[in-house]
Amino acid sequence: MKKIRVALAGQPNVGKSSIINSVTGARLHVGNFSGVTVEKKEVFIERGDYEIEIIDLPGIYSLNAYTPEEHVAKKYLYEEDYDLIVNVVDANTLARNLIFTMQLMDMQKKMILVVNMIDEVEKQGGSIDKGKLEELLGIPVILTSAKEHRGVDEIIDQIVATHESDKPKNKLYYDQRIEEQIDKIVKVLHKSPHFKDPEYARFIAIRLLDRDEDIYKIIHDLPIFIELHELLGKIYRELELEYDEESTSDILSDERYALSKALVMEAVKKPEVKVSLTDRLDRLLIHPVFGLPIFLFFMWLLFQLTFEVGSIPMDMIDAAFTEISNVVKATLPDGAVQSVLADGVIPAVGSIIMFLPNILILFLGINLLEQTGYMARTAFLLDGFMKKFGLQGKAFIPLVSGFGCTVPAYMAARTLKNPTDRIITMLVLGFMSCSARLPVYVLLIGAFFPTAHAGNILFIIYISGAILGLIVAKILRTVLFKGEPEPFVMEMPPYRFPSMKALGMELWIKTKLFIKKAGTFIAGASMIIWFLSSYPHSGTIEESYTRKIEAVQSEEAKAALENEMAAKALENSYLGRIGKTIEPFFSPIGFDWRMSVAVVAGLAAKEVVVSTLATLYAVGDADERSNTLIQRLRDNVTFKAAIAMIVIIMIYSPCIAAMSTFWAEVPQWAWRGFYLVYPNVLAWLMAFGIYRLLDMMGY
Amino acid sequence: MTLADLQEKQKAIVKSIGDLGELKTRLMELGVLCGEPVQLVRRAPWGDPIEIRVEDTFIALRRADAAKIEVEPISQLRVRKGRGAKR
Ligand SMILES: Nc1nc2c(ncn2[C@@H]2O[C@H](COP(=O)(O)OP(=O)(O)O)[C@@H](O)[C@H]2O)c(=O)[nH]1
Ligand SMILES: [Mg+2]
Repeated sequence: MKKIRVALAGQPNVGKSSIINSVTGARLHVGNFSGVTVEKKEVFIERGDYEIEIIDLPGIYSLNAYTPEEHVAKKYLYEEDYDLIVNVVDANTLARNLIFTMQLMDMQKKMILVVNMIDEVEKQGGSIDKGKLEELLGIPVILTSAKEHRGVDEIIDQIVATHESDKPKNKLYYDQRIEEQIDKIVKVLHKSPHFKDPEYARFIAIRLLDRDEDIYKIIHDLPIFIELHELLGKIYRELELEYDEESTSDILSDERYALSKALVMEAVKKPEVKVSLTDRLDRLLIHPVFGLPIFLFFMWLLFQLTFEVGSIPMDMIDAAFTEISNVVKATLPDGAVQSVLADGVIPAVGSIIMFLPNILILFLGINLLEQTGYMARTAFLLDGFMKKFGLQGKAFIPLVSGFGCTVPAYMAARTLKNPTDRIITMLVLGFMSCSARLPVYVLLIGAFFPTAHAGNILFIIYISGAILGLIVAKILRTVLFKGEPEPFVMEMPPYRFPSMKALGMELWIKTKLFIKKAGTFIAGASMIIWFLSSYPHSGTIEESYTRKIEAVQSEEAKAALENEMAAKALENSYLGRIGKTIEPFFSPIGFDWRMSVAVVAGLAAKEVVVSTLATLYAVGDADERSNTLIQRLRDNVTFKAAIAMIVIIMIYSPCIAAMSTFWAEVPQWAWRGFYLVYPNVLAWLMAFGIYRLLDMMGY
Repeated sequence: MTLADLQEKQKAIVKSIGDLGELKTRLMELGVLCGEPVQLVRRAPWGDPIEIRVEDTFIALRRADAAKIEVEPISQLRVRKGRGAKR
């Protein structure tokens, strides 16, 4: 089968991902771009003799890449091997989208233009003349609406047709004065064996006029460099004088903009202007006075819903897993296998699956914030506030995503251009409690606070994390990084009704990943915890207790002794020994060895904290009254130690997955080292302070 | 007068874009070019940043950067009411 490789390029928010998601009969594959952690979505489609691979590049405004994420897309376009470009543009803002289209056309690759969101233009009474655009640009044009699934499959047919056709590649002509200079540069380029291909030479020449640093680096090491450098200096001066502009790249921008305006004039019937929904919503949502309270209300609502609605199916899930565990106990013969399943793996996995509803609601909320366009508003609202802490408004977006999961949040920090801003943001991102920490909070809140306040306590925990993050950011900015944060410039996309299908897909993927994680990683971890807590068997303890138990008469005393035996055995286990070793380190904050072990195990994944507590506190439980983990915690853990535990979970290092993402994103060893140490030191100190404070207050 | 001095809803034509480094290129790509009409849409709480409109694109940027963009106001509508908007 023959392969066609397609690069899908376009400005942010034009609907690239929506298009890819709605192609019929496509297989989706999610991975990373080589060497970096930017998410790479690819789809594979079979059509006739071809297997078509479409790569969804990160949104990019132009080839003058600005943010690290844009550099990934640019690098792909420049260096990778692909057969054609599909350029997606937004019909609503066609003029400025076409500027990028023209830059892509300079590459003189086979190309298709997809004008998306045509439904929005038509709804307002506008229209776009596809034939006219094709004629003027000289490339195939398809009008689509990913929302209404219009024209999407046509793209695939056009990809095959364009790939097969031997029509001369597209070419875009600039003003005569510019063309003359391009020719001069091309002549010099031809002297080098690298640029024998006239199309490639022309592209390089245009990029040099556009002051493209990456291209400059390519020519820098060539023998023709000196001649070229001299020529370029002369051309820059001539053109800048002639056009009265500061830089030749400004000249090209103006030139492209004029061209694209002319195109739009010819091919687009403008919709009549009226007050848009976006404007009306923004009057309220980013109101100078009400904007912030409204935002806080949304966040509060999200955490309320997370707790309240999420707790509804909890009992059912809990009951189901208890039932499974009982069935296993009844069917399997007594022994290690029965025990590892019924006492180790099943309750541990169950104790985590229980929180799936909470996690899904939180994710849904954050996804909604993002998809509707409200997230950009929060960045706008909070930029002034964030600036006081040495960050900028755009840093707010990764921070909020951090409430969902720290891993994609680290990746989202790539939208920040300035490396210092990025490092600071990433160093404090861990304080935004991710959804995996939610189970621990829900458990501890459930055990130590009245139900009526649960949602509010949760909100307070999350907000304190965020405030701590800002304070630490400020300290980092003043102590370690001098200098100003990067300028803030951001497009405010219109509000859009989120696609239910896309939301559903995201939630489904999330559910699948979560169950997979619970069934593999967490089941494995709990198996290890079970093993470590069950072995070695100590003959002497058993013997001495068996004798004692036989000696006493009353049932009560027997049960008490049995409990004691189990507790002694647990303390004697490998895990008990580890716990006893690390206990002195945690005892100043009120932890017993079991809590210490749980917190350390949480470095693997935060859910493991809950399952470890479940395993460790399940032992010695002959007493019917304390049959739930919550009850056992109430019996064994003090209020102040529980608060100290919440503080530790809030602040200390995130899970292994997040830590390795940070590792991949930050190459400097000094920062990696700092990142590994400081959250844990800070967590311990904060927990100690709060524990002592509560102690003094008499809790 | 500069883009930062405009009143809410006031329209103007961009006259020149000062020294903004790479930000200038980015703004030009979003449609902020000499001779183009812009409108100040609104200000964030504490007056910073501001939201501007060019064609159908809405852009948020900081006052300090907007102050480097020279504009010529075209909408007289608000000038009569406003204080010191015209100079
Ligand atoms: N009305 C309308 N909305 C769309 C269309 N395509 C995408 N959207 C919405 O536009 C937003 C951005 O889409 P997305 O696929 O994430 O854009 P990307 O950044 O280019 O990947 C989402 O809210 C989509 O639901 C379309 O054809 N019509
Ligand atoms: Mg996308």
